[in-house]
Amino acid sequence: MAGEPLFALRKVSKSFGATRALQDAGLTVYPGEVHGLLGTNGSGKSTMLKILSGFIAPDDGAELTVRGEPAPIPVGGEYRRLGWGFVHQDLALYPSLRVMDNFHLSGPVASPPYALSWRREYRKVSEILERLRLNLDPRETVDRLAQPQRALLAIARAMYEAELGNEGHQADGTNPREVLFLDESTVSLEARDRAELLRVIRRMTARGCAVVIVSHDLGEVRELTDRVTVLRDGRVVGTGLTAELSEGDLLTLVAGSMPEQQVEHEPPDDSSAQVVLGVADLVGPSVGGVSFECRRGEILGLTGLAGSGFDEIPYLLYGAVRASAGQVVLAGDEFEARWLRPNRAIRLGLCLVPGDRRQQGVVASATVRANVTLPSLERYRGVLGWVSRAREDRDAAASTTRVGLVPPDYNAPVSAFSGGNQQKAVLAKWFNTVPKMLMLHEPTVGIDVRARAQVHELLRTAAGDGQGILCVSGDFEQLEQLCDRVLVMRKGRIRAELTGSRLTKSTIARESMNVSDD
Amino acid sequence: MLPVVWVLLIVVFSVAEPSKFFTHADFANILSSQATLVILSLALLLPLTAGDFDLSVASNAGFASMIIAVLNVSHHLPIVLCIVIALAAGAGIGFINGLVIIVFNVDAFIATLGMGTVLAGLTLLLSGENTINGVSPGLVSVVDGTWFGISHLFYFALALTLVLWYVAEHTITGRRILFAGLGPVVAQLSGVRVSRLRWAAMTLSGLLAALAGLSYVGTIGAADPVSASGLLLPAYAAMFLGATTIAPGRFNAWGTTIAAYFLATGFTGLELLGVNSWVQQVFYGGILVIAVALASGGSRLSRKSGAAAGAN
Repeated sequence: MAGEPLFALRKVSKSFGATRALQDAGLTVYPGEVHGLLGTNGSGKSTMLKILSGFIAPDDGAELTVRGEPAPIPVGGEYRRLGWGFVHQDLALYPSLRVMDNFHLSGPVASPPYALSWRREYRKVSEILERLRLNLDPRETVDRLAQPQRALLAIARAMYEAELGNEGHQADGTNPREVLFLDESTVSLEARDRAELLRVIRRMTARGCAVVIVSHDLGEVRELTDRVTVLRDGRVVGTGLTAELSEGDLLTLVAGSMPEQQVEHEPPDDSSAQVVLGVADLVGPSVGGVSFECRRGEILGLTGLAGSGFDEIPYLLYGAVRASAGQVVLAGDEFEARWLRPNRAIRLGLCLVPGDRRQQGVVASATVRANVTLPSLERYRGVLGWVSRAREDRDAAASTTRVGLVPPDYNAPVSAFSGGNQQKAVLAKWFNTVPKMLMLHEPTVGIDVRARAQVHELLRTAAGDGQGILCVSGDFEQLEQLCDRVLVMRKGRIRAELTGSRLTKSTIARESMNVSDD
Repeated sequence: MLPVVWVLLIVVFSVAEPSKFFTHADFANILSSQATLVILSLALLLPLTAGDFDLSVASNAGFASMIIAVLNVSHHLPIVLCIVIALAAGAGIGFINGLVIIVFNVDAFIATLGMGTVLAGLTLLLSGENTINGVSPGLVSVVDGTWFGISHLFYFALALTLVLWYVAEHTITGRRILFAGLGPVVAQLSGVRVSRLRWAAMTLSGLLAALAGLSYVGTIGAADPVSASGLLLPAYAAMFLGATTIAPGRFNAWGTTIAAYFLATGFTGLELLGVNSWVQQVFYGGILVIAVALASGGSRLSRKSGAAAGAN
């Protein structure tokens, strides 16, 4: 590795309102290396990548040098000019188009824009794929490719774009400065595909370029990278040669040190409390055989890292995503998971506060009143199917008061309220159905600190009233503060149950990343 | 605002052609003869609210009118039976539309466009490409008979408006349909069976379209195979224009009825002023575009309206 870094990013800070996503962080990458950027949920690694790709701007004071020369931090699509290429988690491929069509998003690869020659395109793309020793047919449509092949295609494309961006910089091809950033894009790869990926990456680093792999997967980082930088809570907590860091070292850096108290408290004996929700052998697209119970008055947490399947569970239980197998017991009645649908779940007393408030939670142009009463309309049925306005008003007033909607005007459209209040309106909607079991997916994302605290308080009160609460969230800190018990998933199954003194943010983080017993 | 403009329009035309326009007879004529358009426009209310375009309503009406005419005149079936068959056919057509859209996942726009074209062809077939005259005078007297100088049909259209208004604004089903159109994902996750409602809305629009066909036959005692299709654009124009008044931003029954009569007034007035018949097309088309533009952008009223931004 040459002595001078390919690029060095320093003094990067970023705050979103009161939240500090990055604090004086940085990244230095040398030519010819594969560099891992490791961190768990909320560590700031996504923010850093968004800053590098120009999607968001860092706070003042950030510095970037490229091959020793100071450079402005790229904005918008400018990263291309630096010779950088990005592959994001969703790969950004058009499934209905062919491999060669996907290859150059902004224009044809081998022809001038006014005279497309498919033959030339095909030949050029074949050349590129051949050079990378990738066995892909340029004429194949992407939706017929398996996921690993799609990932490799996205990577090949990014590499090609990086090369293009660099071409203007050095005509003779020496002193390349291309960097390829892979952002959690290899989550789905199996061991065999990882070997192929490594070959492709090595071909690039052999020329003196660099690859940055952003990941939460310890195994992948240890296998693929030369050096690694670890982020935790927005700061860089360690950087060094991968070979010199053991798995334990990495785990400690990522998740924080083990809590001093190793004594496991027995979970409080609540077996007398009734089981509200029982799940047995639930199977879904990303979930394989999950079983657990939630009791009355309990706030149960469910979490994991991206790809572990934890965020699919509430939608499976609600029937919004079809389960392929499993049984669900709700307040004593047993059902096949396949049978569940949202309207049936609601009738049985099972509700879901979905993660995407704007698309799934409320209709912003309608009034708070109409939104709040929507799932419970049957209660207001009068003569000839008439909606009893009086009863509706009464319930809307009660629900909005309970959640503390400010201002308490339930005839205003939802769009007139702040994010925090909109989320409270969503909660009001579900509290209004008087559920037995309430599931929440990312209940406090995108709302201010005070509203977040209020939401937590509402949930605690609801639990105190005897409702069962399932909080499905990737925010470990929230789970630590809010839950009585937390289940951690990895690769589609529950791997750990944490209670008492083991219910800490760092233990959750460890369990979500621990690969030793997969 | 629209009622005001309507009154203004009447005043303008009355001043321009006092001898022809502002007579009770002509006013009653508009209210009576355009009732078919009102009924057809109202047929669109529920599917559009649920977020689906139904482009087959006009052809459905034409088909229904032809069924009644052919069965009654050529096959001498009692008129009541003919009516029942026509209405059943209309509902059945709506049901099939729903089937294609919901079960086979075909875009409503495409599915109903195809159905409408098929029906136009079938209407031509049924009629042997002729106008069928001599439909039951009994029907005509019922439809065209007058109270206070305005035909029964007008009062029927009024009653239909009332019923649809009630269903849309004051019933549980109406509330669910509204949310199914405004935010299908939100509705589905709130326990609304969106697919079922859309299907039902399609079926109902088929039934009401057939009713419009019935009113057409009853008005003139005859059915012809082509003029029904000319009502499609005015019906949509009435729906979109109607969404600018009474309950702005939403498709609504009273607004639609007022808009339909506003359009009729405009057209009749222009005709009485001696303007050529091509004016009709220009008028309807122009009003449609202006109305949608005025209603703060057509996007709020378009098919795939999710949570539209902006408090009103």
